[in-house]
Amino acid sequence: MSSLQIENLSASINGKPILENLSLDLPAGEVHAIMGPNGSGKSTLSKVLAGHPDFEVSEGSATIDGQELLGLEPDEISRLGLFLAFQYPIEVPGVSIANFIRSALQARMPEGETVKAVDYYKELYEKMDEIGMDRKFTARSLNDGFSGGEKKRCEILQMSMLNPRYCILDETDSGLDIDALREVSLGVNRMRCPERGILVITHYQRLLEYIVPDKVHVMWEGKIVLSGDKELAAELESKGYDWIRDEVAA
Amino acid sequence: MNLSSEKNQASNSLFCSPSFFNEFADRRSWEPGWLADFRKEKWEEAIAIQSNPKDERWRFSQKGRLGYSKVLGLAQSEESLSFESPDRNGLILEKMERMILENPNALREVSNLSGPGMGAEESYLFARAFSATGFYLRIEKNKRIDRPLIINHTADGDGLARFHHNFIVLEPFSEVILIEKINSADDGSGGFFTNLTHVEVGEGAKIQRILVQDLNLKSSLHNFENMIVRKDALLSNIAVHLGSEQTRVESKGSLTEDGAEFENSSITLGRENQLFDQRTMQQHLSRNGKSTLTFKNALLDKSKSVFSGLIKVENDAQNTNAYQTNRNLLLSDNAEADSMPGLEILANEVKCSHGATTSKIDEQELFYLLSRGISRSVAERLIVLGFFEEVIEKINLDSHLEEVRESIAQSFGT
Repeated sequence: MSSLQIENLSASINGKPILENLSLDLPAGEVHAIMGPNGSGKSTLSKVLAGHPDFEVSEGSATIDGQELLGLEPDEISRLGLFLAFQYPIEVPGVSIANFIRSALQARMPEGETVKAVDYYKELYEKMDEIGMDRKFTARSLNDGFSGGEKKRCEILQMSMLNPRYCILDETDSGLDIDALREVSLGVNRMRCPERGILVITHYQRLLEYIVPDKVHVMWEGKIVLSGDKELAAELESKGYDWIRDEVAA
Repeated sequence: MNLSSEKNQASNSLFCSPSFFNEFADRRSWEPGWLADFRKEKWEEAIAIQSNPKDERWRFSQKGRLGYSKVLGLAQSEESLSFESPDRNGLILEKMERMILENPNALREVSNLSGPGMGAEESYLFARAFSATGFYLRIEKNKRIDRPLIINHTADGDGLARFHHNFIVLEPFSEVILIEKINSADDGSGGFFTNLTHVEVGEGAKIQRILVQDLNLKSSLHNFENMIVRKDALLSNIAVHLGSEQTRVESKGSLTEDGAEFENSSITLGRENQLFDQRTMQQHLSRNGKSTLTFKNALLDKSKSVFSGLIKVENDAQNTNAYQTNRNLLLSDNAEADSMPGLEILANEVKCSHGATTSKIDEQELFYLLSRGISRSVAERLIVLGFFEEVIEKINLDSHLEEVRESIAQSFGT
């Protein structure tokens, strides 16, 4: 069956262990949420899966549809079909959004073929309209001087243009006002389909009112300690993370 | 490098041989007497130059790489220059050799223009002594040239040297966009190309000059520019350096009258063993002048850049606004950039700033691009083009903007 499957994953940074024996199975067609307090390793998980060079994987595996990701270069992982929406999208001066996304699409084309400009802009403008991004953003430098909301919209735009098989949204709700949160969530919901798995990482339950997950996992000190349905998020919200600490200790 | 080896360097060159010069002069016996005298005088000055091994104006550079000791001769063909200028209405655009024959007085008028004189005097003087061609461009008063003028310089291979001496004169309130391209005749072998350009921008005139240098990687280049900007005139000078094995740039702009504006921008992509040695000056001689200098170098492999820039504000140049920046992006552990920004301010009411930075490619930026499936080489190319964009977007011609981006991208591919 198609899934993003993480088994016994352990990873560290500068010798400090962050992920310990983490396992998670995200089948295509489902939306899972990972919740957890600051420092529980949520963002590290997303970066390790995307191939960030700062982290060292000591154990475990992570596959998408059976293909191992760990050890691959970040660009190879992306082309295999994994998309990471960054918590803090990076500003890249002088590189326009249009040129950037076109380069990313070009990287997926067979040798000798090029992205057709007319088709490309048609699709780009459609998606921008959907997400509520002004078309003049295409010429602007990537994330350069963008507000928090504009950066997150830009992540969703990239995600919808690249058509990934699995998406990880790392704290996409952070820095968003309520209107932006709603629009960004709509953008994510539009991408829900039987062929795609989506992993939503968040600190707060608020986002999950807009993107309703099939499953919720709670992360604590580098591993998944509790999994349940969407009700778990509400429970967590009312009881607070201290509840998890007590559960783990028990 | 010590004094004796530098002295050897000069005397080793063919150009220092009296018989070589005399043969050259004989071949040009058709030229007017004043020009023959002028060449002789400059040649003698070049021979008399004594190198000072501690010359600050060569600091951090590799002077030996920019000498003429390996020159095998002067290029003789007459096809080193071509023009693409659809409409000659309101302007004179001629090759130097025709000017010498048909309009020597106009040439004599500008022959007193000198400089920039920022360290490579020997090469400069040889250029004045041996230049057999180059272009003369004059835009008539009040004339606005709508379509850009394109001038192609072609450098020779086979160890041959060629000197182009160019004059660009804008009469008051005229306007033009000028594109100059410097290319090699072929990729086979290297030569020595020197491009000496004197620019005079008259009152209220405006010029944008775009120079794109894409010589083969076996060539040597000296690019000298001395530019005078008069009252309320605007000169925007943009250079794109992609080719050559070693390049010395000396670029000086003098704001000689009130309200002059001078913008000097440069982008350089270094790779393999390329050396780019850049010396600049923004000289403010009069009030209310504004100058902006932006030199950006991106360096791959074992390439090296040296930037030395000076903002000089003279006594009378009150209310000057001058800015200078040199930014270097290193894409390899073996690349090197040296930077020496400088200020010399004699007036008291001025606004001047300068800055230099050298940094490696930002790992987070790179990861972000990679995480979208873009390969490392394409990501680096995008980041470099992005780094250059601040200068590229100054180009006033959309068609040429794309061409410049494309040339840079192609330099990555080879």
